[in-house]
Amino acid sequence: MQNALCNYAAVTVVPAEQRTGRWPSTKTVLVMTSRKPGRHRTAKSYLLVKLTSALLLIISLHVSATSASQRITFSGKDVSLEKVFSVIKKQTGYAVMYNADQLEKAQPVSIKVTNIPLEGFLQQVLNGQPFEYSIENTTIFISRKAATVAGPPNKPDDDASDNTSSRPAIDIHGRVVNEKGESLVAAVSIKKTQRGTTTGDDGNFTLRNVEENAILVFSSTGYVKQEVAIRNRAEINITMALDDKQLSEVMVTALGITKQKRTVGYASQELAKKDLTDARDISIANYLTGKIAGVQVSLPAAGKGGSSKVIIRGISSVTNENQPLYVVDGIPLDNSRFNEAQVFGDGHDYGDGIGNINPEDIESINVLKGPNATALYGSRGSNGVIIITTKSGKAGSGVGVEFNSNVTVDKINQVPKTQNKYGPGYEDKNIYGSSVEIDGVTYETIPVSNQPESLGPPLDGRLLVNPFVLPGTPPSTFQLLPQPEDNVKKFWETGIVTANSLSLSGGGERSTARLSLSNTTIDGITPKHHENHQTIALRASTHLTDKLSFDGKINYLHKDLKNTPTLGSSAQNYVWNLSTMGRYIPLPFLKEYYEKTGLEGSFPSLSYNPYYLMNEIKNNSTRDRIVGFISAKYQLNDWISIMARSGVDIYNERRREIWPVGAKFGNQEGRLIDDGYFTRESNSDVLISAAKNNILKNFSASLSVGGLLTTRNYRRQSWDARSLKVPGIYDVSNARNVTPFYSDVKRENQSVYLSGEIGYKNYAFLDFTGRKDWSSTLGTDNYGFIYPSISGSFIFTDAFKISPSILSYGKARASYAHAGNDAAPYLTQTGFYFNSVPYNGQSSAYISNTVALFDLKNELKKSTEFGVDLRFFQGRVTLDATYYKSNTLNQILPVKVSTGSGYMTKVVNAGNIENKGIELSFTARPVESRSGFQWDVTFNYAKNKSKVIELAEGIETYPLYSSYPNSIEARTGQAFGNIIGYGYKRAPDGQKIVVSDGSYQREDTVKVLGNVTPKWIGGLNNTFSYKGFTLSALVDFVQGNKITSSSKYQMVAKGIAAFTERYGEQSEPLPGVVAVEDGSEIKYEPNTKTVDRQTAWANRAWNSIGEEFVMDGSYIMFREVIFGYAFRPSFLKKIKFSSFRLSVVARNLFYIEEHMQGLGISPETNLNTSAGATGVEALSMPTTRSYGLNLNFTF
Amino acid sequence: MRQIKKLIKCSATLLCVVVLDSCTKNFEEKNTDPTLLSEALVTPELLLTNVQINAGNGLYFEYAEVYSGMTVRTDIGPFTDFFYDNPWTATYTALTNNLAAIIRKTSDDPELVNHYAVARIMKAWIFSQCTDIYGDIPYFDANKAPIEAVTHPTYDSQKAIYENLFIELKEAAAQLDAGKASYGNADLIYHGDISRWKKFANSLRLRLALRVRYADAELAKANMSDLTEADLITTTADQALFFTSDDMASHFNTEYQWLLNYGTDPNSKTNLVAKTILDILTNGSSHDPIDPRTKIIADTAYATWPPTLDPPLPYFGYRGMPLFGSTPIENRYPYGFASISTRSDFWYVPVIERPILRASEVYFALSEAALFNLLSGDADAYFKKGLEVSVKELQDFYDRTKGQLAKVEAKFRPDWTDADINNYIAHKEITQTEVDDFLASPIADLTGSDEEKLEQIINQKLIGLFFNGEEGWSEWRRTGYPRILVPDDGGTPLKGVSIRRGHYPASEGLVNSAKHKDAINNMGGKDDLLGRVWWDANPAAPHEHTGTVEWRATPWQ
Repeated sequence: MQNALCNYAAVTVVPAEQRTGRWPSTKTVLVMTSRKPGRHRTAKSYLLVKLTSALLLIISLHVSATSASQRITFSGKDVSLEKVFSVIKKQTGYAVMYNADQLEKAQPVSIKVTNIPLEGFLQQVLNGQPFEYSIENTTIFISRKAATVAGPPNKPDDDASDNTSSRPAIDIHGRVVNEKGESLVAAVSIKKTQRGTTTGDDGNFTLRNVEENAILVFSSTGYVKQEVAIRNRAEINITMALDDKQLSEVMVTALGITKQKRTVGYASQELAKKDLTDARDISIANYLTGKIAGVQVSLPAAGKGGSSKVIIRGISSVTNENQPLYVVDGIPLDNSRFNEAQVFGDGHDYGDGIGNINPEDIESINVLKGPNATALYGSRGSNGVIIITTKSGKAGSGVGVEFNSNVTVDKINQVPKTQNKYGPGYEDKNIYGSSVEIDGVTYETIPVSNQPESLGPPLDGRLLVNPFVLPGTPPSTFQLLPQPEDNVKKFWETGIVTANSLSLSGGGERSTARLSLSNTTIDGITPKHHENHQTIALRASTHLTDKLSFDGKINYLHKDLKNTPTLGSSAQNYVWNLSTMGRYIPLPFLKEYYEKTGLEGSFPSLSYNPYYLMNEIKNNSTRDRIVGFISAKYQLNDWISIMARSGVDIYNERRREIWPVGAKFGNQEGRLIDDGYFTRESNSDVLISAAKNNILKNFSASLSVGGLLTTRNYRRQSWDARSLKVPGIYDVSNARNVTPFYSDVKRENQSVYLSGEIGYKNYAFLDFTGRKDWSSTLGTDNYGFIYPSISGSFIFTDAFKISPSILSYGKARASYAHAGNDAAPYLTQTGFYFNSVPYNGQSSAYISNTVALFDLKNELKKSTEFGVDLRFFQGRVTLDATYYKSNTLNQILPVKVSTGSGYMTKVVNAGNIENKGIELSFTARPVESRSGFQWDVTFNYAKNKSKVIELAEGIETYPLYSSYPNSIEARTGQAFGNIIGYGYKRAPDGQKIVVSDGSYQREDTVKVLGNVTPKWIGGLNNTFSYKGFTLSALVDFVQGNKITSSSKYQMVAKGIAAFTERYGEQSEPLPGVVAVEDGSEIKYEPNTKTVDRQTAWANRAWNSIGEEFVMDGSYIMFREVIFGYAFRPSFLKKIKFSSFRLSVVARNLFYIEEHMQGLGISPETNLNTSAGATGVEALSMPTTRSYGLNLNFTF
Repeated sequence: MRQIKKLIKCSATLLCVVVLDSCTKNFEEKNTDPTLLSEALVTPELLLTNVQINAGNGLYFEYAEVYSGMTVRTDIGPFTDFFYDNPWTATYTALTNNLAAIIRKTSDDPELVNHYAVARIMKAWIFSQCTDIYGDIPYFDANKAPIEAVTHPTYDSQKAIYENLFIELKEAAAQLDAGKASYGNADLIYHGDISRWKKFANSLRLRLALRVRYADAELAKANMSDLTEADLITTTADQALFFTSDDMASHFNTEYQWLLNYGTDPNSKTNLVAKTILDILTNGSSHDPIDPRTKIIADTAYATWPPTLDPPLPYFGYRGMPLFGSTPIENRYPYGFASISTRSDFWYVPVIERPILRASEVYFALSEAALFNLLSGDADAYFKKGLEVSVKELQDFYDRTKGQLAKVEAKFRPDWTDADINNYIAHKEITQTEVDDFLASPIADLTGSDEEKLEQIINQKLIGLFFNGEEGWSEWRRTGYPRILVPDDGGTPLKGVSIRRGHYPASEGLVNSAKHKDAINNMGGKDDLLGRVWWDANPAAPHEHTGTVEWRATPWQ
């Protein structure tokens, strides 16, 4: 035992900092593991194994593999390699990993060099030694020279296997050992055959009847795969070399703590590198679409520049926003979406917080899906956390320059299919106009109405009084005829997004820096919509001494937005106007009318002249944002470090909306909304980390303890100014009626936490975290809450020494965790509100109508998770599977109380929403040829089943969102998000009942018409690569959900949808039955009454038969095709570039499946990002197909 | 620098958390909404002003004007049952809850006795209106402080509520002390005038006492016997009115707001004058009625003043709108709504008075009380005084509004010149001769049986109550007058009968279901529009007047 301990002791070189998450941490990096490769002969030898490098390395600064730029100056005679390595470490900051035992065999070196590149130095030092090196990021791995075959040296040779059938067969035996000469369990297969064997415990193998010129393939997890030609030998002994490349991956976990993936007992998923580099989008949230199991991303209703909605593992909270927390470089990023568009009201989407990050600055994105991964985020971790790491400076010779340019063109995908046969009016025949005499003949007028219905007579060319005339023109006639079918499509423009980004990066021995600049312009598909985002990011880090280092970043964004489209059921929404206007309306005339008169015009069968809208009713916003941090780290000794950091995220936004004098719908006297937002979030934390391997025999352990202070502040100051004194001057002081609004929301969290891990023999790990949060928003006695988690990971392939030939790696994991949502501020107090406007000079105040919850508790999500991660055939096939079950308790619900109490709502902590599901993530590489052709398949699938187990006491249904004609509610016993409305009244056999006027009858009471939660979602991606070319295609799925559509309601109510052409001119009866009283019984007979279009269609909307407007939201979208090419290094060297990549991306190509009935809407757009409005479609902007070209080069 | 301070603070916090458990001392302050006024900051004045704005300007139960026979709305039929939530919700959450807050703040402070008493009077007034609509309602459980809020309040019987209202009014009136501070201008109704509040409390008690006379004559008598004419509102100077404001759009008379947004011409007015009230006013003479109040309340049918519009429409005189059920008016009148009198343009000015309690109502109440020996006095004389002061009320109204008429006509009749407007105003002026002629006419004398006299009193009271629909509706329910002709229309759920109470809000059945069910059981087992509230107890009241309305399809010549 003592011996074993001694033997183990020689290994560690890893600074503790690297284990515990030096901050900011970056993308996943590869590190050497302490896993015992292969399997050894006896229990004794097993104990005596001299493990190679049980090393962890967590590198915070990404440094490219071409680190030759690090330079060394050295002079020494007969110096031990160990000493040389320590000099390297000192001068370069690189860690050097080696096996102390091996070094005993090394020769001392004598060498004198001045300022030569690291690689050259290493080559000189290792010349003639039995070692070789490799450099990965900032780590130098020293290993024994790769396998040497006993016997005459051989080179694997494909040709040798030719004509195998004709060659004589021989028996082969041999032994496989590791670099220390110990027996190794390995797979031995005969190339191009199905035959093979595995070595025994003694490392020996025997293969019979092998063609003498065959090639043997030796593989063992953690070692370099080797191919050896037999060349007529009977005995082949192999020494396997440790495979640096096959070291297990690490990942960034909560609080930036980096862990080896193998130790992690919960699910998380990282976005593939190519999805960041090739598939550009202006908002990084959209990168996740279809790519991460269990993550659903909805397209912004406003199109490019709009807010993304990301839901992980289903909706779990009735009132919380349900969106994940974004953490950038360890600092939470504010992702507020203020004052979002609603179904009613003239709302806009001014964009979210996550859209402010320059995608070029992103190094990696990792998704922590549930409380099991996010418990360390305590009261902010309930909805999952998306960890984003940004790029930092690269040391190198001179300045590294990276330039990225991206142009994306957006084209309208689809517009509503309209009927083109019927005109204004009712009952297929009546226009209900008055009459005007022109030249002695009387013609009918079309009345001006704000509810333009196209239920009237056919567009048959009849003569009417021309409503489309310029003012002052004498009355004339016009023919009632349809306009071109594509007139609406022509209204929209081609959207263009251009994004250019330049970054400079460089560094020396101790310091690195990176500066990036970006400029993005968006020209939307809606006319006059224009956005400009500019960012500057500066990142710098330095090792002041060996022990003390600093890191810092400052990021500035300026965003200018003009005329983002009005959303929802608003007359200002272009979609409302265009999809409800009469089909006879000549759009070019409306344009001409506006251009000549500057007036709206008030035309029949139209809500608003869209050209007036686009030019006169305007909005804009500007946002200035600074995100930055500074951190300091002190390495106390080789296993304890202390880190302190502080970060802020501050932004100001000003939004203005203007209506000129003469606008419609309540804004006749002109209006200005001047809306200012100020947001500030600050985080400061201290983290002490300690890590030690082999604290006891076979045990490793690490522990981090930290504290965090978070303050958040949101202020809003706005003025709604109506009735302009002087038209055209949009200033609050120019308005007669001004309503000010002011809000100031503050909150503070204090946290302490610890995170620890105990590992046993590097195949079993127990992880535990605990965080106590004190949230200012909770009740006085409940400020503090503890969020614990425990998880275990067990690599059974290692523990049970399973042969790696098929299942090369298998991990089982399990975890249990709590995470929460603290409440919104100010729910624990009650008081009075001051009226912002006095009445005849008298101020007034009124009592709040909410009963506060004085002992408010946090919302708590408890989650259990099990999963396996499997790697087959040396990683050619992988499967990660997770089952989870979470219950979100103590929901913070403002429940309705009897208004007879004097109050409207009372805040309660109650409820239980359960989500359980399965996530599968599968990858395979079906083809990998020597020529370099590679085919990769990734498939992810997530099935989530939500259930509202309980709401508050006595409450069975909770309203989430009111739309029309249906609303969204949470109902106990059902999945979250029921669509509630009236159904068709049906006969016992299910046929719809028709009433006396020939229209469908509505049921008497509302009922559940569907559910907005998908049954499953997924994505399938295929990537083909060959010599620098990559082609990948992504298809994503959402299945089994329903949406309620206001677009359909409008287009049916107004007789515009193409399918409403049916029943015109009373051509047929509605399918259904009529109820006939037969004595005391009711009999149902087939309906024979023919109906007009109004009765057949519009009545369904007018009678609020909500069932008609519930649609199947399932879809399969051909989401993305990327074709990319990276120039080869040999070519790049000639032109002095270090990389050059070109890619072409097509996005949102088409729906393979959708059920939108030609209404031109998308099943995936959401009105806004609130959870309650999920499944609510309300005249959203048309979806677009994007084509992008991306160019990236570095030199 | 700021971040370094943060760091220091964080380190200190961490230390503090470890050693002391946490540093949450500032949390309470942090979690205090700066836009929320604390109990300490809010004054009774601020709250009272808010209550008066909401009670006065937000029309309380506007459809009551239809049930009382004052107006008929063109935009919505009268007998649908989805608009009864609003008075309930407004009562509890916007009005009485704030008054209860004043009462809590002032009850222990002898210096604020007037603040306390006025809040009690206001609260009694508002609760009386609410119980009059629904019957049994939460009263004793309602409006507790937030921390002791009764979220499932019990419904109290209307009788118990009324008994308490009388006590409240009596006590509060006695408490009022002219020597103590009052609300001043924060009181938008009486500007802190304690003597007028006393008169209001007494007059309100008279109103409520009369209301319960069929249900509990003793209670009625007991609450009138101590009142004399001098204790009551008997002049237009004392009457309780609330004025809308023109300081911003949301404070305008709601009719003016409507006019700004939707009004195009007089034909677009959605409140037509009801046949019931106009028949009383014109008394059979629709061309030239003797009652001078007619022209203030109504215009002759569209475009008849001045009668020279192009193209000219036939002249219809004063013609009220019958309740029309579901029959489109175009099917009845060749000129549709243009055939019907609308309210005069005076009712559309931005600053208008909302009547809470007028002197005429007091006199008509005294007249009825004297007629039925509930108190001593001359019913006939009170009746005449009532008519006299009623005319005066409308004269005052005319004087207060005529200056604003130009704003109204700018929307209704943009083609009118100043002369046209002045002509219109002049035409509407009530002269002393007209007043004298009217008061000398037989209309001003009570004749016939007591029941016939009662009908006369109530009919005239209705005119005095114009713009105060709830009171008119309550009087109709109590007495059966005026006789409202309701079309026997199978299309409406009530089939020809006007409603007797409002539905409870649907939300009560969901969130307070047990108490709600009890209340319904106590009121006869049905939450019925035709159910009767406790004081609606006169079995002889002639409520049902169904039949065919005589439609006049030809213009008046």
